[in-house]
Amino acid sequence: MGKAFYLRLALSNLRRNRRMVMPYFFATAVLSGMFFIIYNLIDSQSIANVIYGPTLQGMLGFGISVMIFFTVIYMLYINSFLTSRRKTEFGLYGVLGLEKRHVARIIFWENLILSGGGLLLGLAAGAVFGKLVFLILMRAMGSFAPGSTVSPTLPALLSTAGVFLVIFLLTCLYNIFKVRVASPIDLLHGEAKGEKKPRFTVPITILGVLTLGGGYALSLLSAIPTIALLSFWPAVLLVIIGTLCLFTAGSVFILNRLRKNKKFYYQPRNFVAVSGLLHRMKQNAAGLANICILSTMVIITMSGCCSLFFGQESILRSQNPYDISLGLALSDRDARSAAVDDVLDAAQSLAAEYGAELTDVARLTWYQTYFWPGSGEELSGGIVPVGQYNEMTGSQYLLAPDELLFIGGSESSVQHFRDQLEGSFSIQTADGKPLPLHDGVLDKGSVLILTADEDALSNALAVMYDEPGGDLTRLIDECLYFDVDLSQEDGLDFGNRMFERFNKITSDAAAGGEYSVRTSSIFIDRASSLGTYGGLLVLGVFFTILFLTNTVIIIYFKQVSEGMEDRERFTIMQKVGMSDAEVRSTINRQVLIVFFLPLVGALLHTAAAVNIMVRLLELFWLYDIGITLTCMGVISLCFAVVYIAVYRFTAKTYYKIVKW
Amino acid sequence: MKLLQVNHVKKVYNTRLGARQCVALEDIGFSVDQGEFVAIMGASGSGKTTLLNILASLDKPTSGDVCLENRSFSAIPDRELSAFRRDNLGFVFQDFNLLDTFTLRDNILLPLVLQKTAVHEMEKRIEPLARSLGLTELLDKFPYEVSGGEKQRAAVARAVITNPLLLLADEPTGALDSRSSAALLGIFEDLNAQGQTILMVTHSSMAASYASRVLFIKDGRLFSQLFRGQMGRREFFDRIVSNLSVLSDGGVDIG
Repeated sequence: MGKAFYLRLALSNLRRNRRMVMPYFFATAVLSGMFFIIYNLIDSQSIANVIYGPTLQGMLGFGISVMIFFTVIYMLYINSFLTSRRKTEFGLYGVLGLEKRHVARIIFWENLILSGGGLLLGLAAGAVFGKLVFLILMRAMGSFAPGSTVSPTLPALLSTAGVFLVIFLLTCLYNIFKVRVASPIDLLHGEAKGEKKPRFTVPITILGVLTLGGGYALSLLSAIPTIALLSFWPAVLLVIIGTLCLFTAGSVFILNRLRKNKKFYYQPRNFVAVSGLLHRMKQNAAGLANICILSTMVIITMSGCCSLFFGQESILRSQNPYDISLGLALSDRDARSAAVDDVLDAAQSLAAEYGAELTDVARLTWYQTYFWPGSGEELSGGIVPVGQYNEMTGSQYLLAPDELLFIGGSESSVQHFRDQLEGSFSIQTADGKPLPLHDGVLDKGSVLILTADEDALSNALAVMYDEPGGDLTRLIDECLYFDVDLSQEDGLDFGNRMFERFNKITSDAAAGGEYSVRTSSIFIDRASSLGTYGGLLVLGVFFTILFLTNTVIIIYFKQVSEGMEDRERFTIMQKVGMSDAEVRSTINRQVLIVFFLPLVGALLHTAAAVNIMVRLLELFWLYDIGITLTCMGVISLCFAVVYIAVYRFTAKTYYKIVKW
Repeated sequence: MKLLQVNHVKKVYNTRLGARQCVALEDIGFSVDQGEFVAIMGASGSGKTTLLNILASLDKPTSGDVCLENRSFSAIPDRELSAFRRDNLGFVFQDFNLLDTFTLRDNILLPLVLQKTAVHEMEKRIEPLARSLGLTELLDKFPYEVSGGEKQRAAVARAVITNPLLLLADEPTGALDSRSSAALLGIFEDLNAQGQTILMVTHSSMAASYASRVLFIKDGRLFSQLFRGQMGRREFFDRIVSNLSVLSDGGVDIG
């Protein structure tokens, strides 16, 4: 018996089991292709040369380690599914007189052909589709440089092969171990074992209701972003536990209840359906719960990534209420004002060079602060001399040096500043106009505090910083805000040159003394956000491919196993006196319920997650709820369509097996 | 009174491409009286199962006709066939054919549920039946939790709970050990004594010796038949065995 013997046996086994091994083969191909592409992107010099390309590569690098983790687990799971179905076959080898080490050799060859073939196909596909992915990525990042390209690299190939070598070794070990521990008789009867009786259905159902309810509650009760961040992972965990409990025990509990109701149960329709579903749920509950959880992950991941990507402009606007913001703080007030005058002149002349003008110019000398105490709610305020306020709003307030006027603001913000300033100042509140600045310069809930003049402002700061009598002019910013109508490319250039001049003017003004500046340009942020959110979207797509591949394969295997069992059931029912049409319709209905339960569950989870998603995205400055809701809605819809397509596609296999 | 009438039944199977024809049954004709217990014997491939499938209305003869209580099978429209089967025929199979998704109780009740019987009526019927078959304790178990003999008894209960005109059994002892076989055949005898007409296909002489008449089929044709009459079971068994040896001698009459 030469090596060729085992190889031949392995080959014929694979051919005979193709219905079961093809999914494993394709999963290997798809996932290895994906890994190859990602590794190439990480290695690509072209991407590294793009602005913020390194950010993207860093994200991919982190993402891929998470993906390796998931991939190894999934491939082992698929493999264990395959092996458990082939127990009888392995047992037969034992009966026919093959020793376990011979069986091990067959397993090795089978696995080698399967994994090796899948890997080769994947690498080939990765090399072909890698370019396409690269082009899409460059477009997504909005920075396609002509001539830039990505080519498959050796290190990427080795890394990919390495990941799948590990999976290969683990699956080989697992399968050989499975064969080693079992006697031929056990293996022969592997498939015929009766189902386990589910135990403790009532307590597990209660646990499931509680954990799922808890998870939902955490999502729905997250009123502010920081709390949403803290409760996100606990909520995910609770929902996962709840889903598992309710699919495994809850379904059995409900169906058992229905079965106890004799009037309901002993009706031709319900009779077959309830007991059939009960049986299916006992067999498949864990798998279905997994499909449900994976589906939810896909929807949430993609919704999040899409919201950020398509909400970029909204995020940028929240972060940059004006195209350009500049601020200077310096202890010498005259030098400061003179410098800001110069900056304004410089900005105007620079804009003229690009054939543009400054619009919505605003200039404000003030002190702004915000922070998050333990409660997680943001407290914020801006302190402005009354003269500037009157000028900007057309009001006519008059304040004495020891008077403060509070305008607007959330209750807790007002309370905070009142506590700090009450002893030294007499505080009044008024229902005054807000400052005519773009939304977002002053945060929502900020209190506007008016002082008599800049001296009084400095005094107020001295009280707040506990430096009585000190001059805190060095903390007061003189800010310049303006928009400039330029394309992204010109704007980026304009911003960089503007900052250069600003830095020069301000450092000259400081004349070696202590000073601080703040600068922001929407053009620069936009370039970086394309890198970040474009990368995030790409990462999201890769994760979706990973999760989806797995979901499809689990669904496929379920269809196959359902089909094999239903074939027998179908003939028995016919013999007992059910008509062909009756049998077909009841089995059809059961299969539909079983496969669409996870989808319904996933959509329910998504609906419950809307609130926490909206809050979490606010943490990324995405305040446009419309974008988040649209993304979640569209992604859910797309997912449902894909799921139904996958179902219909795999259902063909089912019908082929049942053959009616 | 004639319950079942089989007239000139012929069954021809076409091979896949229709090139060759295979005659499974040729000119079979016999009748079964109300209250009879008939066994059909024959070697493997003799056409027993084909005949049973035709009698069960699961398959249709190529020519000829089967009548139950003077009602011809060929006159029953297709969509009423399963209801007809459900109401008039009971089945016991070699491999039990219990649904593993149902408890024994639900397996037994299945035909009644399909007939839309009221719940209290079902309970009234299953109770004495289960007691007489020794299944009372096992009703809430699933098929994979009980032995083969117990499964077959549940299958018998399912077959007779509708009070069918005719009980059809296809090698009912084929998967049972000798004790369970004897017990099952005892049950058949009891049912027959209560007036149940039974038609059983088997190749076990022991099983056949419980019947009141045995038909022998060979190569698709009715070969001979034996009546038990006043014979004891032992004696009838010997007659069956000697008849079988004639059958296997290729039709040369040595008796």
